Amino acid sequence: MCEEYFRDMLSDKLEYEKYKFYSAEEFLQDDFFIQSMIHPSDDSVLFWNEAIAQDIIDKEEYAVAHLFICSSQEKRERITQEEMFDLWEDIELRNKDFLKKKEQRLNIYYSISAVIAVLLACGFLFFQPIFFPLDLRSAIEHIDVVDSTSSDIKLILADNKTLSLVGQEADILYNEKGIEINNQETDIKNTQLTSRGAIAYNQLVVPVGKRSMLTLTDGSKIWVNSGTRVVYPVFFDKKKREVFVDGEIFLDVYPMKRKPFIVKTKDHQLEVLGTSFNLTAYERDTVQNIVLVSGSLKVKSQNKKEIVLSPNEMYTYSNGIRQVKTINVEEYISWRNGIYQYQSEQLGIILTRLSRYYGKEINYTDDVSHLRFSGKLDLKDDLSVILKGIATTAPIAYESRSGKYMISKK
Amino acid sequence: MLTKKNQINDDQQIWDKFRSGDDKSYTYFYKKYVMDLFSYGLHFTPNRELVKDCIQDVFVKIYCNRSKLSTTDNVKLYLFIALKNTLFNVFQKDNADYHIDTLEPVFTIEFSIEDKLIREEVEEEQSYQIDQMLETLTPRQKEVVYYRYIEGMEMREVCLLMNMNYQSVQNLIQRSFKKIRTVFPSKKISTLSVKNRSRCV
Repeated sequence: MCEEYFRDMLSDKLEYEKYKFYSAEEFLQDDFFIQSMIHPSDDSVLFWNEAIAQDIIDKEEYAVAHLFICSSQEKRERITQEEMFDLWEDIELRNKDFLKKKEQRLNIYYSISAVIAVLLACGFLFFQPIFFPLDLRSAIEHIDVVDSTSSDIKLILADNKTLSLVGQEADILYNEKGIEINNQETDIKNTQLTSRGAIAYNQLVVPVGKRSMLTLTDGSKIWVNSGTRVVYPVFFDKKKREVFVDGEIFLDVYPMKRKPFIVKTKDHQLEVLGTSFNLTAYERDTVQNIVLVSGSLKVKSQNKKEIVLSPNEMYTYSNGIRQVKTINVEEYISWRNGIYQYQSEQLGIILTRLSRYYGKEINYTDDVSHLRFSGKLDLKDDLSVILKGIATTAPIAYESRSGKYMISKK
Repeated sequence: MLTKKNQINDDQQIWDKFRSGDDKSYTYFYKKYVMDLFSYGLHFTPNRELVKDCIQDVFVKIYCNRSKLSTTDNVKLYLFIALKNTLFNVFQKDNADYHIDTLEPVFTIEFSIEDKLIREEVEEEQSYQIDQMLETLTPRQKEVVYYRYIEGMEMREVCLLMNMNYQSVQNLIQRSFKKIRTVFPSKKISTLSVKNRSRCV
């Protein structure tokens, strides 16, 4: 204690010595002096008072320097709280806008990856498709259709072992060694073949109200929306990459020139061409859509001439009629970011999608289904909040009873 | 001094967090420095809206380029430099539009002794002389005085902000000091007593 005190005294003494013959100019060049003047602390006040009291420093020079700093203070212009708040709001708005654009840019220009999304129909008709190769087709047939009333995301392995994944969303990644789930390694080993010697297929079943993200062994990524089933091989064939989808996905294909990526649905076969494209496809129940974000995409349907899609085009298949039109891609892929965006869309289609996304039953009358709605729906909101929002712009009324929603025209 | 150093270390950690994607750190820097930046910007233009626009640009830019930003132990200096550059770019563009020749905005400042006590202790005459002396400083000298004695920045920081080498900044300061000597030629401040106070602001 005593020792410490003397040491402090000594170091102070040395510090004082430093300032002994300081002129005003020298004080004004000293960082400690300046800080003491503009941000005084208890210690610094004490230090200078002592230095003056003990007559160590030149008081007059100190006073000149001191006066100089005091005089050079200013009348500060201040930003008001309100201005500060408004400015922050503007900044946030621009940042959000940037993130959105970046997303689009990534999809369109960065062709390291290609994107597809597709979807399809309710119910599987496994025996009808004619162009499924034997292996994938038999694989689909052999894999049991999972009980769709189950509320957990299910991952079914080649040996029919089923993993139930708890939570709203699952992130599943296949690497060379095995499977990672939600960034956690698992003890599941990837196998090339099943015990019966067939190619090993896995299946991911995402029930209504849930979503998943799947990264395959080739690096391609699939965002899987509610009520969707995806069947894929653990390791891809040497010549091509094939997956089967029933539902809605957004696919980001890792480009491989000599190994096309093929997505099969009940009625269609999509082939990703070249490497520089992204593509999105989409389902709407009896209507099926494929939306291409970038690159180019070949769409084949049974017995019909193939169609090549360009970016920003949507292919629609409804009751055997095929159509291609130009659309705003963002409207169709925004679900990945938790938003549904519509431009004059039929309410029936929107409600069906909401029902699937939230896993809630929504009933509505025919006249409701033909109303048109435009706007953005934030899927983080509760379903009742969303319906309330729609009801403020469209002439509808809704009521909920025991978890079911009934919507009627006002 | 010690507290200032710690502050800077904290800033570096938070800055690194921001660079790796943390939005809270971003908000933190806005709240912490928007006042200082605003006051600073107004020394180059009386146009509040323009200063706010430039602050907006600075913050949006670092947000959009966050992954490309380098680490820094001096976020305040970084933001000050960014704001100054942004302001000057705007002026340059405006100048080009209007074919005006003056390229640089001029640093202006309204000095005022805020501490009444000090003023009382200084003779009327001297106080007037100091005000006069400060008014005669050139814009660049005023700018140095502002960084050094209002913002409390170190010489190294002043050099970076003014984009000048150490010796040039030193010369600017020395010239201001010469003016002090015109007010206090005999190294005497007649009636000024220092007493137990060393606070200005």
